[in-house]
Amino acid sequence: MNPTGRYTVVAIGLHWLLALMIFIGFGVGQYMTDLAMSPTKLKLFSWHKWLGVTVFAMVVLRVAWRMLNPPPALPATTPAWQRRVAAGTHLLLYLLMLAIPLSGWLYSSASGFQTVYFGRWPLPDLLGRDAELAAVLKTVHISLNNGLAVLVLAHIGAALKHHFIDHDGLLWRMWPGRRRSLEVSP
Amino acid sequence: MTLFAPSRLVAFAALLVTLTLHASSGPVVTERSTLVAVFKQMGVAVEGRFTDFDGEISFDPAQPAEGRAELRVRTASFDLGLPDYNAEVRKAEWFDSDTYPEAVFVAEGLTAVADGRYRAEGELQLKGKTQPLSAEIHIEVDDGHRIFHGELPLDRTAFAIGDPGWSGVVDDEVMIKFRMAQALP
Repeated sequence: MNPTGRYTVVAIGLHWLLALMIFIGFGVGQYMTDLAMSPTKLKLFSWHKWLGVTVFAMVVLRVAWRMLNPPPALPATTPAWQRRVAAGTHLLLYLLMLAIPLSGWLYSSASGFQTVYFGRWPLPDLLGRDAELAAVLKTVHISLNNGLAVLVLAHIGAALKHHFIDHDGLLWRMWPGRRRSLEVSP
Repeated sequence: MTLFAPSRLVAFAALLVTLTLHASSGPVVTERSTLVAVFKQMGVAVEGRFTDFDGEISFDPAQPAEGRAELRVRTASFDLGLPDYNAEVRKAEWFDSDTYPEAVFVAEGLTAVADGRYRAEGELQLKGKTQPLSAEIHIEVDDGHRIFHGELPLDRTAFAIGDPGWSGVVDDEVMIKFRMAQALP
């Protein structure tokens, strides 16, 4: 266990950087699909895909880091059901952070557009152009994102509840900066 | 008589030689022909094909300099496989298919480069602009047809295809890949 009661600096950095990138990717994704055909639309599609590839790679790094650096223990007072719900939510968040970029990549391939990272490094197309499959993968990509949005809201809600209602200091485990020491519950 | 009997082989070889050397003149067999344009958009290769074109070719292997080809392409038939892309390329800033429905390529006189390979000089008239073109053409015989195939790069801006807002998103260079079939007599 992490003796300081906080996540490592690397884990905190990856958490907030990924949060920012996911919010941007989600917002751009919502916005770009409704645009009429234009240079801006095609740029946004490409940027969205590059962001997704970056998110995927960073989540892989984050999972590897987490395996090598286990998270700090929850307060001893945390009920068993909350531990289970928290662990399940976190696991699902990780799965979705990997599955969403994957589904987007496959959706792009099935639509007939290879993903070329930063316009320079082509990712392989695992699927050929297939309009029906593309329609299915579009639905999958959107549904997974809606699922992620719900889980992120629950995640934020739980963090705020711990901070403002329980006052158990749980938020400081993941809060950037060095000044706070963890208020450990009795 | 077996398939590989010498007399059969000789007859087959003679047939091949006859077909290969035969002069041909007539329309392009569109069901056996393809006209593809490949371009890069944000670094991503995108392929579209013209589905409506026709043309005539006359070619005599003994006199390549007498060869002539004319190809007429309906620009509105450019199919990128997605409806909104197809609608986009018909617009005024791209092909302007309403004003310029047809592109015409004419080549006169071939120069032999190597066995089965020729250089064709011609002109492409597209979107009201005419530009000289030069392409290497491979000519071979396949299944009773003479096939003319090759590829050549075009600069789309030389034909005012795509307004400046698209520069940096869609590359200027467009690779044309053609494969034209003609029935042998």
